[in-house]
Amino acid sequence: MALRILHNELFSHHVGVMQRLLSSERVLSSAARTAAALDTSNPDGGEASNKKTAQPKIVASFRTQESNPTKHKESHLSRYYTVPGDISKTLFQYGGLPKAYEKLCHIFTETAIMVRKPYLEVTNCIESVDFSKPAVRIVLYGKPGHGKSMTLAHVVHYGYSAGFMLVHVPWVNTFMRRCKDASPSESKPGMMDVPIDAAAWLVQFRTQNQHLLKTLNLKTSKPYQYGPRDIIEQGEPIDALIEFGIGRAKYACDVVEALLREIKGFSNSGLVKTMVVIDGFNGLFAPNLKTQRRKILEAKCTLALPFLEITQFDWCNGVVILSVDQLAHHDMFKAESNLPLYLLGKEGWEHIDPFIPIMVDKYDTAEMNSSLDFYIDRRWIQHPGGQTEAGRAELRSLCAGNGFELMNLCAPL
Amino acid sequence: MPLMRLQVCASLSTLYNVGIHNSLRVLLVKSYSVYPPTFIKPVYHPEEIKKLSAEEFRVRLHKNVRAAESNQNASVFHDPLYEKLVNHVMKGGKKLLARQIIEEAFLKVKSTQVRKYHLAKDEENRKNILTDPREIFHKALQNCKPVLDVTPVKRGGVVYKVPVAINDRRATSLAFKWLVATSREHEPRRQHTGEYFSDRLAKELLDASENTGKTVKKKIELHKLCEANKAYAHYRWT
Repeated sequence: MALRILHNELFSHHVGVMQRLLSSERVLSSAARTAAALDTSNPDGGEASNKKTAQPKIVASFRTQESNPTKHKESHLSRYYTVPGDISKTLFQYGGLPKAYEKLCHIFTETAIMVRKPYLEVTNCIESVDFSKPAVRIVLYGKPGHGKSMTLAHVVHYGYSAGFMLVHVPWVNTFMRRCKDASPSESKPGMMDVPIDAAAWLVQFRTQNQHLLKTLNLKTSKPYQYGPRDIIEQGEPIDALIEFGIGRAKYACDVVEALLREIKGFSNSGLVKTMVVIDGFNGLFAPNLKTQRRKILEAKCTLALPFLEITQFDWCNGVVILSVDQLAHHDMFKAESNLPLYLLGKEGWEHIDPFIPIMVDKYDTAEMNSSLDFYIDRRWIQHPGGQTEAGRAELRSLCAGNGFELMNLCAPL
Repeated sequence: MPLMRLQVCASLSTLYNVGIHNSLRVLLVKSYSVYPPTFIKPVYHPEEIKKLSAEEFRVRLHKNVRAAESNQNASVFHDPLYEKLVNHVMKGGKKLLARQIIEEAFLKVKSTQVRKYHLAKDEENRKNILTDPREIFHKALQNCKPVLDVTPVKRGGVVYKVPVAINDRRATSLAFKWLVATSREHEPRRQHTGEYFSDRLAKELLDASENTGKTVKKKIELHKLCEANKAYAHYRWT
C-alpha cells in the first residue's frame, strides 16, 4: 500500500514535469477532439459520408472501417479495426502481437485490434509533443492480459502510418531470457553477445522500415571497422550496415549499436522522426542472461545497451513508448507488483525518469461487449449458450475484464 | 468381496429398512455408496429444472436429495456428455489435467474448422463446414455408437460370441472407450513427432463426425462380427 501511495505521488510529479515539455496544444487537444467527434455523426469520418457509394457496406457496431490509426479518435473507442493484410505482414511478421493473439489472427484470417483509451492517450501525447525538445518517454503499465502489448501493436501501426522510423522490440525477453545463442563479446569484455537474436532484430528492422530506407537515402556518418576485412566506409548507404549485420551475425550486436546511434544522428539532424517501441522494457535490467536451454549466464547482454541508449532523452525528433510487464521481470514468478517503480527497480527508474505513465486497465463494459460480439462474429464463441445474455454474463464475470482470460475461456466453446 | 458386499448391504438394510425384503436389497443397493437408497439424484441445471412438471416437483418435495457432484454445475456451457468424456480421459484422478487436455483438443478442432470457414469465400461452401466443436463432438459420438455387441456364451464346452442388442448407456460407454483408446494409440516415444493426445483426439473427433476414421472402423468391425455370428443369436435365450 505504502509503495502504491509513494508511486502515485511520484507519478503526479512526473506528469507535471512532462507536461511542461509538451506544447500547450496537449491540454486543448482533448477537448477539441471530443467536439470534433460530436460533429461527425458518422464514426468513420466525414470522407465516407461524402462519397456515396452505390451499395453502402453494413458495418457491425463493434467494428470500424477506419483502418488508418492516425484517424482513430474517441468515436472509435471500443471498436475493432482491421490492419490491412500487407501492413500486418510488414509490421508483425517477426512478432509484435502476443503469441496467442497471433494464432487467433491466423484463424480469423484478419488482424483486428480494438481501439482503446490508452492508445488514444499515447497518440494524443505524440501529436502534441514538441519534437524539437528531448525525446518524450511514455511507459505503459498494467496487469498481465489487460492489453499492453496490443496497445503497443496499435501504436506501431500508428507510427508506420504517420511515417515514423520504427525501432521496435516486440518482446525484450526473447533475447534476455530466451536467447538462441550467447558468446563472449569481443568489443565489450565481460559481456555476452546474442548474435542470432541481434541479426533477427536487424531483419525485423529492415522489414518494418523498408519504405523509409528506400526513399530517404540515409548514409553512414563515419567508417566502421569490425574485422580486418569487414569495413563499412563513411557515406555508404545505411542498408549496407544492416546487410552486413545480418550476414555476419558475429558482429550483429555491434551493428545494432552503430545503427541506433546513426538513427539518433539522423533524428537529431531532422532527417527522420523516430518512434521507439519496446515491449517488456523492464526485462533489459535483468542481472543476468538466460538462454533458450535455461542456462543462466552471469553476464550482461550487449544487445540491451543500444536499446537503453536510445531510450535516454539526449536526442530529439523522437518519441519512446515502452511497456513494463510483470511477465518480463527476470524472475517473473516472484514479481509482486505491476507498477513501474517496482518492475523497473532503482536502476531502471533512474534511467527512465522522467516519463509519462499510462495505465492499461481492464476492459470496461463497452469493450467487453464489443469483444464478445467480435468473438461471436468470428466464430470463436459458438456455443449457443454463449450468445445468450446469461452466457455473456457468465463469461464477463469469469474473465473479470481481462482480455487474455476471455480469449482462453472462449477457446473450447 | 461378495461377502463384504453382503455385509454392507445387510447393515444398511437394518438401518434404513423401508419394508423391502433383504434378499432384494442385496440386488438394489450399490455397495459403498455414502447415500442410502432413499436419496434421489439431484436436478442441478437451471434448464433441467425448468423442464420439470408440477407433478415431478411435488414428488421431489419431500424426498432426500444427494448433493451435486463436483462436475455438475449450473453453467450455461455445462454439458453432461462432455463431463463424461473428461472422466474417460482422466488418469489417476487428475481431472483438471484431463479437462485441460480436452479443452485443448476442442480448441484444435475449432481452430482448423473456423479457419477453413473464414477461408471459404462463398456462402454455399461455408454452410457445409461444421465449426462448433461441441456439435462435432456430439456428432462424432453418435457415429461411434454401436447398436450390437457380442457376449460370450458357453455351449457344449465351446465359447460362442453371441450378438446381442445393447442399450444406449452401454453404446455410449463403448463409443467413449473407443474414442479415447484410438486417440491414445501412438508411435513409440523414440519417433515422437510432437503430436499429442489432444491432437489425435481432435483428429479422431473430426474424422468420426464425418463417419470415417479408426473409431468408426472399430464400430463397423464389431457390427461385421455380429453379422457373421448371426447363427448363434438364439444361444442368448436357449
